[in-house]
Amino acid sequence: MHADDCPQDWVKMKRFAPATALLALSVVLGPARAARGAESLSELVGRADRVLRGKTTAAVLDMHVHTKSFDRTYGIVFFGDDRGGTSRALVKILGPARFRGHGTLKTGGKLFLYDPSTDRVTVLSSSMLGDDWMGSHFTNDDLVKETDLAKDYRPKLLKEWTAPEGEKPATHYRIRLDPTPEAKVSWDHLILTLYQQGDAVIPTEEEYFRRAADERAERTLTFTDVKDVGGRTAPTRLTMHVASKAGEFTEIHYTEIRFDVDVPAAKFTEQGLRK
Amino acid sequence: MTVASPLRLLLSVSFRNLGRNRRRTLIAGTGIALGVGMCIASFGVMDGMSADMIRSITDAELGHVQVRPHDFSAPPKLTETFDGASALASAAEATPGVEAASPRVRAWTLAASETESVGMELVGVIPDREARVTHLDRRLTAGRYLPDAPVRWPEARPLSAAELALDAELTRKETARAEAEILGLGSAAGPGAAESGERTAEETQELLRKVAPAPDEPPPVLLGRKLAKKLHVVPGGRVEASATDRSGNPVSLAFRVAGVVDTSDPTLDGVRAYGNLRDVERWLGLGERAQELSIRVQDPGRARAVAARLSAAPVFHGLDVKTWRELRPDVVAMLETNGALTAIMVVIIFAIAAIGVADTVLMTVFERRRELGVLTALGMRPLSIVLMVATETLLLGTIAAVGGLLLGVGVDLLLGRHGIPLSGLAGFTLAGAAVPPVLHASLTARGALLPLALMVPTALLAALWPAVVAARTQPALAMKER
Amino acid sequence: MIFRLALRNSWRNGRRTALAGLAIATSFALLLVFLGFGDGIHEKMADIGVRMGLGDVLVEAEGHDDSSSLDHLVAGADALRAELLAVPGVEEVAVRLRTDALITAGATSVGVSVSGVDPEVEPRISAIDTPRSMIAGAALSPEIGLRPKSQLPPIVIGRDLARALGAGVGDRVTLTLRPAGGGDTESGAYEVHGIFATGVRDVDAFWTEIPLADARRIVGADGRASVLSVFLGSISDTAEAAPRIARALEGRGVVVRTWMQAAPDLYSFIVVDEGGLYAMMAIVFVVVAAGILNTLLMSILERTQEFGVLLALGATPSRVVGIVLGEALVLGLVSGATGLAVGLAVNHHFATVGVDLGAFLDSSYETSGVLMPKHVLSHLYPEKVWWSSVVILGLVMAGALYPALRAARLEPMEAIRHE
Repeated sequence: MHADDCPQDWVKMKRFAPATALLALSVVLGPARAARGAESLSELVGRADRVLRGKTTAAVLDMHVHTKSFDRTYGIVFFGDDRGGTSRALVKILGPARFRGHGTLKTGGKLFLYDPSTDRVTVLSSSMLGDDWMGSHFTNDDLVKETDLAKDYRPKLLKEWTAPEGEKPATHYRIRLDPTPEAKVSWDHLILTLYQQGDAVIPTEEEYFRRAADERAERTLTFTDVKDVGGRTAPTRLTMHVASKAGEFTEIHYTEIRFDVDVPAAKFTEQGLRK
Repeated sequence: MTVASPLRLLLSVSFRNLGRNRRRTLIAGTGIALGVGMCIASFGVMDGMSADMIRSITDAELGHVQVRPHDFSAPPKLTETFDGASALASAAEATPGVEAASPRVRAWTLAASETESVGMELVGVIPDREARVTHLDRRLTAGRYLPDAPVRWPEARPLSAAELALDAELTRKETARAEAEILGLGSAAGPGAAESGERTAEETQELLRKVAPAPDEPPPVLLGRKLAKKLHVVPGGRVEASATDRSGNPVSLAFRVAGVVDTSDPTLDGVRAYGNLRDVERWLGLGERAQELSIRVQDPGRARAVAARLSAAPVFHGLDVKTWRELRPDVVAMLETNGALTAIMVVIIFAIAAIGVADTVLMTVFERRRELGVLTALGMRPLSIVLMVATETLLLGTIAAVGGLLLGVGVDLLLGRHGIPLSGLAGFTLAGAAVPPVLHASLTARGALLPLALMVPTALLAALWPAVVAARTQPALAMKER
Repeated sequence: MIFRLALRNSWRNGRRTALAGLAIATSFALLLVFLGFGDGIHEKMADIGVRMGLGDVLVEAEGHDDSSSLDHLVAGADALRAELLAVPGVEEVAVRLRTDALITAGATSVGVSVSGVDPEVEPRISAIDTPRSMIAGAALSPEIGLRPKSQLPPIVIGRDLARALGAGVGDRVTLTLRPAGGGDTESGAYEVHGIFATGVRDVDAFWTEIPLADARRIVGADGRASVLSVFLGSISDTAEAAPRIARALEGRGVVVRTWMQAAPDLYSFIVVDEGGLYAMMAIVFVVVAAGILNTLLMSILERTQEFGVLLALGATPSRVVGIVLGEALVLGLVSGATGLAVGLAVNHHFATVGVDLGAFLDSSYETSGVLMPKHVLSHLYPEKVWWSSVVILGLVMAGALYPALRAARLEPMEAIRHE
């Protein structure tokens, strides 16, 4: 960071302080609905973003890739660790035979791939970050990127309504997310749809837009099959659609998920990747 | 004076006049001949350089005409391919004007030797076709060229129902193990998991041999000189490459380094590798597909006509046919601009040469004022005098220009064979087009005839004024003058 | 005495002398235009080349062998810039920080070169980040340094890259790169501020520029630079200025390179092209020499009688040679001076107004070719004026030598009887 940036930040904070205080006050005193200010909106976004993420996460899932040329389902085991400064993750393929044992390890900004047939670990060069991950509609970059919807975007409420979700009533929100200048995000904006039901905050759809004027999202991620898993209520089925590839999709289905359990650090090493 | 053949008379008089002062004629003629000859020679060298630069881009990679899928992107993707590559190559070669056609596939891979790992662009080619289009075989600096036959690669077959069931069972077992591991996290891990893991690995290998068999031996590749250096490998060495196949799967394969080639493009030299198209297709799950068909035509000047013929053929329907000019407008622009500059320079040279010729002719006419005056006095009409002087000049100009043509063509042929070495400049590239270390002249009709076509009228025009002056000369005055 | 005679002879044969003189003068004038134009073109070519992210003279850290490597950077670049600006002949110095990065728009990524540039300096010397090259949006401008913190840092990208990314002006993109000193990749978001078209394929497809301050921040190279690009008053001063710059920076751990060393391909092309021009010039001289020889020979032949009389009256052969050479000298000096004056005047026109090459080019290439100059200003070097004057005069004298010797060797009696 530039040394001369600091005073500016400080000045800005001072200027903002009274406004924040006022906002907090209105949350306490005002009627609940009207008080839905930027603060709690971003909290909602954060909770929706972390719905499938604990401090640590361990999961078994199926990934179904449907494209024009092939249909394939991977069995996958996933370990994630967000406790440190940077998040680490290990993905191992359980089947089918052709991909069994393939692994992807992410530590910091680096991505390592393991291919059991040559028993070789390769560091992914940055030029390959844009490639598809295992033929799916996710890119390698999606795996490396560390975006935090609550921190990297400024929320703006587009619409709020109540409608039953399951048997119980729920409050739905449609929120536009504009990236902050500091955010390492290559999208113009996102539109996030979520609902709050009791204590649970469940995302239903994330739409990624390239340009301010775009009508259609370039990528759409939908969340379905809400269940009680790992001590939470969370969607267990995620589907990614890409606008330029009509009719294709990648679907992730969680069969087992646990949050905040002790994942050994050895998982996130080259040894863990090979095992 | 017979009226029957005034032309013959005119010619014979002109000839005699030219012959009467041999030295003067010789000097004037030499000037014109040298001007024309040297202009032809320099046009030849310029055209030769352009042709060499064009050849360097068409021969190294591009070919004269390329066929690609519609709306291909740069860099091309493995999903942008066309089927039946061999059939299309044969169809192209059957087209009049086409010398050879070579289908190709290119894939970005990560190549690793024992010690190094670098990015590598692997181009799959049919060895003999590629040799005919780009003379790749002549650019070998070490080792051998790619053998014609691809390596033996056991046929892959889909798994049987029983094998699929086994595979599903293995996945289920692995999943159960993973679930158990997750549920056991935080508590002591159960023993014995490693053994069953080894069994699974063996059974998986067995299945892999059926669904994705490895070739009998590592397929051969040629590496660019700099790439081989970066990887520290020599012919006979091994390179392992990882890539993403057509379905987006990560795949890796070991290759044997058959030879090292000089691609002549410094950037290409550090990333380029060539393998057998069949091997690359097989490895990347491409079937019989190719991304581009590079075509060498018999006469590069007729590339556009050949391209039109190809795109009209039904086999190429739905494919994009482009000439090298369309594919490399930057090189075309560079050559065109350079041509324009040369043209300006030639205009200036001709202006200077024309002054020399005009001066010579003027001198000749003024010197003969007395003689012309006598002719007028004898009753010769002014028009005839103009005609006579003009014929003389035309004769001189034509003979000299033809001499110049012979001289220029001779120099061109000599430079075409031996070339001018650019000492100290060991060949270089500009916008990807290589200028050869030795400049060779190239004889073109334009380069040979343009100076000729310009010089004769220039000389004639230059002679007109003195001719008119001579014709208007007062006979008495002219004779009195010394 | 000889001179007076020569002058009188020339004067007496007014029309003939005028003709010969006119030929020499016009040839000389055209020659000067030719020389000026040739050098103007090559200078322009080199100039366009060095303005594509290069410089007349480059100052880099020792060991910096790959232009996009962050391993060896120039420390204290801004102070060094001030020092360089104090070196005589240095007009401008651009501090640049360059590295390789992955640019991403939406889900599309392309590997590119990123150059961090000073928006205050760059538009004055660059052919990339300048309003002239922008086909959409705007060049990085000095005001960008004052942008509010809520605004994304700007980036300018090439036309072909914009097409590949599907990105337009105002779009958000990210750069991912490995910072100086290695370590994990860094990334940051930028707003496409302008799209440039230079006509150079690699620049239009793989080159991007961002403000230097933003580049230093993401790369983590405070105060450092990959290169200090020095621009002189004229690119033709390079060879002379480079050693001066190297001396001024001695012991600073920097390496000084000229554009000829940094872009050997461009330099070689120009050398070859220059060689072609010199070959053409040789042709010009041959033609001019033939004309001069002819003119003088003719004038001697015409005056055979006269020389016969001179010799009969006791003039020595060397005297006759002197008369003829003197005549040639007068002719050469007078016509040479005229040619010089006309040539310089015409050259002045082309040096100020210039020549538009567009007329010679197929219009379909106009959008694609900036690598080659479209508009050329002539540049005539004084030393070339000097030596071409000497060559022309030498040619005249050489051309006169044979007729002079011929005149001296005449048999007086035969010559007098000659027609």
